[in-house]
Amino acid sequence: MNAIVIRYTLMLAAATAGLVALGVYSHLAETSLQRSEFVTGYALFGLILLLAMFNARKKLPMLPLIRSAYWLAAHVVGGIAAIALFFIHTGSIWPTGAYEQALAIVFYLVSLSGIFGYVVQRIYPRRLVQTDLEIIFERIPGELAEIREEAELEIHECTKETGSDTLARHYIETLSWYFRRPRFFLNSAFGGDAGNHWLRNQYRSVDRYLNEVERSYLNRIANLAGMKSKIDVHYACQSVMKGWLLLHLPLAAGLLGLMFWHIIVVNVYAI
Amino acid sequence: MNQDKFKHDSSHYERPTQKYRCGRAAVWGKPCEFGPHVSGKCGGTTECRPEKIGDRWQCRRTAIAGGPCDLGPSFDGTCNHSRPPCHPRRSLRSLRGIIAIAAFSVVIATIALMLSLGDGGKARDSIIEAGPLTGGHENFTGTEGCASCHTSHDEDAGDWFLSAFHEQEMTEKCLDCHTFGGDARRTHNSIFASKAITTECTMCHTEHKGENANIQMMSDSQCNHCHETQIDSFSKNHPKFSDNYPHDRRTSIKFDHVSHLTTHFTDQRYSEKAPADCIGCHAVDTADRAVRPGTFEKSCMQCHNQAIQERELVVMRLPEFEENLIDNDAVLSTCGPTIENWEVISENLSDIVEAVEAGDEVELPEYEEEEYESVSLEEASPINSFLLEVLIDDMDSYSEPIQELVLRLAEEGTAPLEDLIGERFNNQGSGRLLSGLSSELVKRIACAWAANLEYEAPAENTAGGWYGDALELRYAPLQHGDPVAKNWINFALHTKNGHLDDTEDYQSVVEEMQQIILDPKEGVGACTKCHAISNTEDGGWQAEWAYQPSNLRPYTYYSHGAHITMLNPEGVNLMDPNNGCRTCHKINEKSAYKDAFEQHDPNIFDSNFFPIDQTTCAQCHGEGQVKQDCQLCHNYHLSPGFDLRTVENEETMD
Repeated sequence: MNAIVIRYTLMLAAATAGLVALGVYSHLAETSLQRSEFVTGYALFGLILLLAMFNARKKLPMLPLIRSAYWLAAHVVGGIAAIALFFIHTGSIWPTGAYEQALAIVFYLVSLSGIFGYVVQRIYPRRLVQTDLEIIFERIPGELAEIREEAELEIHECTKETGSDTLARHYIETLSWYFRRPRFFLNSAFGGDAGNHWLRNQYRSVDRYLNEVERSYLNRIANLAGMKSKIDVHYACQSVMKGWLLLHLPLAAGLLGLMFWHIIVVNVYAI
Repeated sequence: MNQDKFKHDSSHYERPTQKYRCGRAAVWGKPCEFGPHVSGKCGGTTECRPEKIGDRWQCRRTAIAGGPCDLGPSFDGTCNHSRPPCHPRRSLRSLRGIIAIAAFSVVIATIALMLSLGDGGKARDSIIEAGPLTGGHENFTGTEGCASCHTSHDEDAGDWFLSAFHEQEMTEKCLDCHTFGGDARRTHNSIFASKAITTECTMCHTEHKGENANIQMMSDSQCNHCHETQIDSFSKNHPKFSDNYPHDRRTSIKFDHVSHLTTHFTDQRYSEKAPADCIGCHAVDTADRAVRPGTFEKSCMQCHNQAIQERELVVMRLPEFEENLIDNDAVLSTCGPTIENWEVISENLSDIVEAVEAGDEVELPEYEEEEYESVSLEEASPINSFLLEVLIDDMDSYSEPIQELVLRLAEEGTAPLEDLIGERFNNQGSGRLLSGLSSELVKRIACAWAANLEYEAPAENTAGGWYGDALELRYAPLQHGDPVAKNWINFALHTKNGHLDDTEDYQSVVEEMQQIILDPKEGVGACTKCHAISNTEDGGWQAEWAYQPSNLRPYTYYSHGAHITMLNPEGVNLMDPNNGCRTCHKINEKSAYKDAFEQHDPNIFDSNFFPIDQTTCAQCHGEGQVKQDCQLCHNYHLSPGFDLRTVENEETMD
């Protein structure tokens, strides 16, 4: 059993034990006509604060605050536990008050975006490995620019050598659009192969009009386009892997704000 | 792709944590080597940043960018390979931080805005209210709002916030409107006071769960938490019902189901009038905890009405006297001349006329009085005897008081009788006992008696009510529930309540009076053939005129309604022992039902029906059948109600 599995298993066991303890306490409190909402509420509040601290931990890499991998595991397991604790706390899926409904909506959105992020982080790296290419997200624009320059250089050379502008015109009318920036984003994100399909069509449409010399240039351009297609997949997947936090983090921040007010109101009115 | 170009000496270092990224890369161009400044300005307008070594500027273009250029820097130290500046863009990380802070700020700002908006506090309440109240509570909090229950709601901001650190007194606010049969803070409103557990309303009832929420529902485990006897379920180990369940006292009406069902209803004389089924007498349309019997008119009158009108009460009877103690002049003055007077006048009429014509004084000749012989040979009515506090069989005792009373009745009508009743009845409405008795009738009867004559009624009394009959003043009940008859019975029972002197002689007088009024075989006492006479809390007796629902088991609820619908008793033969009402109410033909009415303690009884056993209910209320939770049959509160202040508050607000 590897370290990750052990780590997650232990944390899941701890979270389950905590949830069971709170669930039993909640049941016993209800049976003995006592209010369990305060204990479960503050437990949920503490747990969400702990989850939020993961982001702070990432901003303080210089401090010895336990390995980030442990934080991630705690964040994932704690997030799942928070969903269960939310139901223990509220006793329902949908609260009745307008403010509590807003709070619930934001909580659900944070949870769903978190689950989405976790799933994406588990699935996309495998897809990226399948491209047989490694590229840092921030270097993609520069890499695309280099490929584009190489492709255009090939077109120049071809025109100069053969005196024919067939390939050049084809590039200007079709391939320059493709090389300008990442294309087929959604299709790549969902695991499609539309980019390569589109490229094969373009290849076939011009191939019959080229002589052997021009065809060799076309083949080199096709290789560059194939490389660009892999980078497109990297761009789409890495964008999603980074972009979901654009939703998750602001929602979590909003949830904290809503939660603070909820705690104040509860303490003023319900105790 | 040639991965070597990403080696540390072949490519520059990426810094994704910085706030800005190159604007050229943002539009899919080739980013410059330096990237933007931390301030957000373009840092790549030149290819290198020359360095002055000694008195010469040297090119510092990196090996990655092609190494030092041939041209070198200008004399002033600027790079000769310049480029137009780009527009750096925020990095993803920076953008994420800004949006997160913005989201948090928007939430806080929205809350602050809602708190500051006027609108009668509605905006503020919308971010405070935990959910709609139940219908009843929603109505009465309409004007006062949250402050109806939450005292801190309308306080200023500082006190409002500080109240978060103080416990609120909610129960007191609940008790502004809700009342109970005992201490609201005691479990079950005080019957379990020995446990000394203080309760709060919010322990069981929590609001803001929606308009139609059931905030009274409790689970069985919550009941078990306090109760020493742990009950898993009704069908499993609920304690057995009491020995006589559901009967906790004898019936107020002596209706013997056994004799009626087995004897009277099968008698050919009455069988046509007998009900076909249980609901022939019991009013199922208003059935709740009890299925009240139908009215007398609906259920009993067909067989029992005629006997009522025949049950007359002799209020006064002229007894035998040895001598006439009544002043004849007073009688003559009050009642006018008697037949004897007229006979003397007619015999001496010529002398009287002459004396009148001569202007002489007229002297009526005295008629020769015959030896007094009482017109009555009867005994006085025990009621007379009781009212005048005389002994029936002692002529010396009663002659003078009764003859005085007769003369007073002749002079004043009913007034002397009302006075006497008032004295004996502690002035509790003597008029109700003599309701409908006219003074004229009393005077006529009294005049006849004062003249030692029998009263001759002008016509036979067929309609009932008060009438004179020779030597008696009588009352014939008009119908069932006759108020005069009921009041005379109450009058007789009242004397049992210890309000009168208790001498031995007088006690016999009282007993005779009571016997004549309460005797079920004669007179109005026949009422007590059906209406039980029971002990009162103050040690007296009372006639149970009305149906007496059970007041015991205030924590138990039962509705016949749903059960009757299910058992559908209509058309079920009265004698069918297994269907309809008799599914649960099994008749006990050997019960000593009537015997229980020989005494007056309503709690000592023998029901016509076998007790209902818990297993009877458990036939349907069991696991996997009809629900059987505690609250189905048991109430928590004792006599819950509402305080009038609820209404007064509304009026004040209006």
